[in-house]
Amino acid sequence: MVALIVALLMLGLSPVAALINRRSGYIACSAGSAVFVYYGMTNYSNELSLFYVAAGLVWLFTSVYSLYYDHHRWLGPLYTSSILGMAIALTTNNLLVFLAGYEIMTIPAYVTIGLYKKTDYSAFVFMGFGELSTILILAGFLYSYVVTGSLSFSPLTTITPFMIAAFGFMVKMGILPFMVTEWLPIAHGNAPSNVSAILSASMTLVAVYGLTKMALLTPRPDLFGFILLGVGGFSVFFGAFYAYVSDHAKVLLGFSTVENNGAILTSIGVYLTAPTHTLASFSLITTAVYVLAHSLAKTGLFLDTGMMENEYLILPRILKNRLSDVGGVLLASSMSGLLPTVGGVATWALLESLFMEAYTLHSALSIIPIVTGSIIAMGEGFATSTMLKFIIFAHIFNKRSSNEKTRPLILLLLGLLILAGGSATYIFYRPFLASNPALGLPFGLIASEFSSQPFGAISPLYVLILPSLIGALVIAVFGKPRIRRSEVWNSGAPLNEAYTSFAYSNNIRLMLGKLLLTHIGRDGVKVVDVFWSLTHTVAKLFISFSRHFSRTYMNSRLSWYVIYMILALIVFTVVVVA
Amino acid sequence: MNWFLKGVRKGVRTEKTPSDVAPWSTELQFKGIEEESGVTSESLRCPTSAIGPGWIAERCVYCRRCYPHYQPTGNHRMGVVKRVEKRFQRSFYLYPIDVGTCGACNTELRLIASPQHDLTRFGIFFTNTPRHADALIVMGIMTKGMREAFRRAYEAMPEPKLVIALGACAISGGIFQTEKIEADVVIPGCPPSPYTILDALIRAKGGRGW
Amino acid sequence: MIDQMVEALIQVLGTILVAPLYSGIAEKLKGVVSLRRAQSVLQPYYDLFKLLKKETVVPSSASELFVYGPYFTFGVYVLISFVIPVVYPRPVFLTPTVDFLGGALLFSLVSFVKVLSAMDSKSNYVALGVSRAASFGFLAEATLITVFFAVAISTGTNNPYVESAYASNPSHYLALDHLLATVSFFMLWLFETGKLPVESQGLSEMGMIDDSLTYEHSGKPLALLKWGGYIKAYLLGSVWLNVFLLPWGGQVGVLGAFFDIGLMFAKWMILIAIVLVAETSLAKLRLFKIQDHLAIAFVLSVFSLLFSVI
Repeated sequence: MVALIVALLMLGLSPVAALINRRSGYIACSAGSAVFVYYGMTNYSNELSLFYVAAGLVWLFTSVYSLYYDHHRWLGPLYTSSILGMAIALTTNNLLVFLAGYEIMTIPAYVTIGLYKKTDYSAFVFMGFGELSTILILAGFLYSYVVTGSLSFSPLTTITPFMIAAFGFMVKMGILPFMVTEWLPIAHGNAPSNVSAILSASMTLVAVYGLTKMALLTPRPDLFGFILLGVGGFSVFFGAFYAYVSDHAKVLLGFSTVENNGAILTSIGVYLTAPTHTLASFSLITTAVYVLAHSLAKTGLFLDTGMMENEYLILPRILKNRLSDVGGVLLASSMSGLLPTVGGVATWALLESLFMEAYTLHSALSIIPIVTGSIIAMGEGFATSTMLKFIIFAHIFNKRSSNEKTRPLILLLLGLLILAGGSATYIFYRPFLASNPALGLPFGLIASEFSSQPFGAISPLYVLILPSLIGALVIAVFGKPRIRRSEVWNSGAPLNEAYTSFAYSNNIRLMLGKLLLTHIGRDGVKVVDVFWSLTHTVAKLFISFSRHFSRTYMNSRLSWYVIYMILALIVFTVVVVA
Repeated sequence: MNWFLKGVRKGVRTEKTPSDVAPWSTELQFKGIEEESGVTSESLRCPTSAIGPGWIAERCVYCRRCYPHYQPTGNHRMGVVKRVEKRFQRSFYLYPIDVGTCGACNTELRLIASPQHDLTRFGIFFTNTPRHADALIVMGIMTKGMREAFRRAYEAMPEPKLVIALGACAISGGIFQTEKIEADVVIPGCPPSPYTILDALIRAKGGRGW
Repeated sequence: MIDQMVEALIQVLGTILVAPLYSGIAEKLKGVVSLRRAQSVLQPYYDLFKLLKKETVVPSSASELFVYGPYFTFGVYVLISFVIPVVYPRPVFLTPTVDFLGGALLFSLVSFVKVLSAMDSKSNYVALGVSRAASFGFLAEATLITVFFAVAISTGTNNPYVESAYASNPSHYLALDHLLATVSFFMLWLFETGKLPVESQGLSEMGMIDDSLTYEHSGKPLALLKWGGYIKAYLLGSVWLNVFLLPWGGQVGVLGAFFDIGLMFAKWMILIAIVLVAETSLAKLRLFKIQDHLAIAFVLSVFSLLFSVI
């Protein structure tokens, strides 16, 4: 408990410190985050504690990175106060304090996007969806208050509050029709990379946290759980699909967040609909592990974009650096759901739990997890290709090198953490550990179970060690190659033009043209994000209504943002105190 | 299925020994109608100066202007192997490069892959990247545009490697009388017949020829 | 424990050492059907032996990933051969490292590393092939996962060895879900190993999908990539034979393990015969049509999943 108070105190001080001196603010924020991680690890009670660890790690790495990244006067205070808001939302047990934290987290991000904007509507869209999310959550919480008569998170007898709030959280997570909330603010809003990282990795984490927390308090819904499961599955597919055809690094990563949040939502859906208790607890752990995997990897990849000179993968201009190359590859492999990383364990567990559910249900209802599982499997295929695209065109296909040490080192550390973390998932899957000493695995098996009998099992530790060991053995047997350097064979011509990232995904643009509404015009191949164009039409209508309002108040003059922030804080403080 | 049945029914059609060598693709020899010293490139107006003293295989383009003084012997084993690479005995991958041909060498080279000749039974294969190649087969005269490409292709191949010059143009410049290409194996002919090509390739990897 | 280790050794060595032979036999027969005498059945071994002795040319801007990636992928393939029933019909040493789905994820890991290693050369040819492979990866990866689950769901466990035993019961074998999964997996195998009608090895009807991934490699890394390719074809093909098409006949015990290598040879002759007819009668699909081929395989496997629970 002391650790928590210390952490919150440090995080609370950091915006003030950042106002005075940017670096001291980031240092305070890093220290607070580190203590927060410590708190999460030492007070590990249930899966929700894992969210603390994940969030704390994201803040820690991002803050340390920001020390070497930030150039804007207002970024430090805004960034740190956003983190403070998240810390409040994560640690409170009071509904209104949660909402207050949720707003404190959202508003500075909104201001940052406003400050860095390239287009008028980006900050607006972000705020619009952010407030829609808040209103839905508020409605859910109010309903909960009406039902239980208590302003703290407490067990519910009806699922309606959960349903309402769930929609609010899903808006924030960028689930299917609301995908725009993930990629647009980051890309069109041109959010700085450290803010992008916390926008995409830990803000959605807070939403998932709220959703999970509500799910734990709610009686098990039948139909609604299946809806979450299915919607999550489609989000995985479309998120990965749009990510694959994007050539803007941050849009790609934003869509990848949609995909991951979809997977997390599916996992929560499995938890809500699981026919057996064992499966329910398995999928709950899976949810938390998925959150950990996504937060860490996505943070790393966004920090990676901070080192790019150009955010378009068509013009690959990241500064080449061995440390960040290795880090990036490790992070991308986790994002692609490959063993032995955390992401691999999470993907494995999610698919297992879906198909275990289908098996245990053994009825017409099994169709839902089966179809969802198959769609997610397709999404995972796209995710692998997407992450390959990112790594290839951001890291491998470029020529300029950089001698920078610190930021690439942070990336490498994150990569190693996520690689070793796969083997650390044993801690979280404690009830599901198994062994088979007769076959050479005296420890280190994670068994997926739906009843007392295991369904399948993996051993991330063994997968971490064995291929490299065998690879080393192969080197010992066949020897190292005799190497001569030469230029690339390019049919006899010097290698001038490289294959572009646009060409990389163009087959899919043409093959799945019906899904992407691919249009081949005079200026090349164009695709349409159906969900965004729909939202955009609505948004345009909305904007024309509120043009006057926006001209007067949202004119990106900082004073107005600050006033708005202070007002919002006051309003919430008053409400909380009252 | 139809193709499969046809293939099974017809059986193996690969030749066991060279049986169908076209005479005018083989070695030429003086037939003694006049004194050999009297028959020179100048007197025959040989376009590539391939006569005198004797018949110079590397230069001959088989225009038959020297007929009947010179006539084919039926010996197709004209390839000259200057360097044998035993390591390719059972696995020999070729990367053909055309640096300026009329197309005849390409066609004849292609023929060694036909069922009749079947290069694969000797462990010889074509490949489509120099990185996988053991030998570079160069055809045609060294044109300006291809000089750099040829150099890069050679550079791209891993050691050990051979260069095989195929056809009169590559060996001696042919009727264009341009430069000759330095090669480990020389396969004369204009164009060389598949038999000549296969024979030289087999000897280059340490075999007894064909 | 010792017995299991010996059985594991036989299974793994039986995979690594015998895998190239099946490719050699298939190529030989394909040659004979196309009227040629064709190469020796041992040709793959000759090629590997030669490549292991050759120099390795590395593009000037490539890193260690280009050189040592193939070693790693070979290591993963060897690990997979511990895991799935490719020779011996009972779990062997280290088999529980991953289950069937874990095996599918390991295959993805291999292709991930293989692509990165190849792309590290920065060759445009490689990029072309990678982009093609990536275009179909989503269906191929999905089908591999669903087809492995198709058997998992009918048995209630994701242990491939249990599934093999389960399928050997005739009533389970003839069930619709098993048959659909069998067809689906075979179609996937054709894609994964670059067989017609998807792609063709050799110089005609090239698909430039997986072939181009090895375009820049040479020497030892190339040998390991090729060898890995043989092992991959053997692993997936043997799973298809042992779990789907012919789940019968495996003997247990150390002596039984030696017998199993012979049994696998007999089973493989059947697979080779099927592939031979397909490869010598079908023409290659246009690139964009490969998607349809895989989509059919995917849909079949999903149907198989549905039939097994309903």
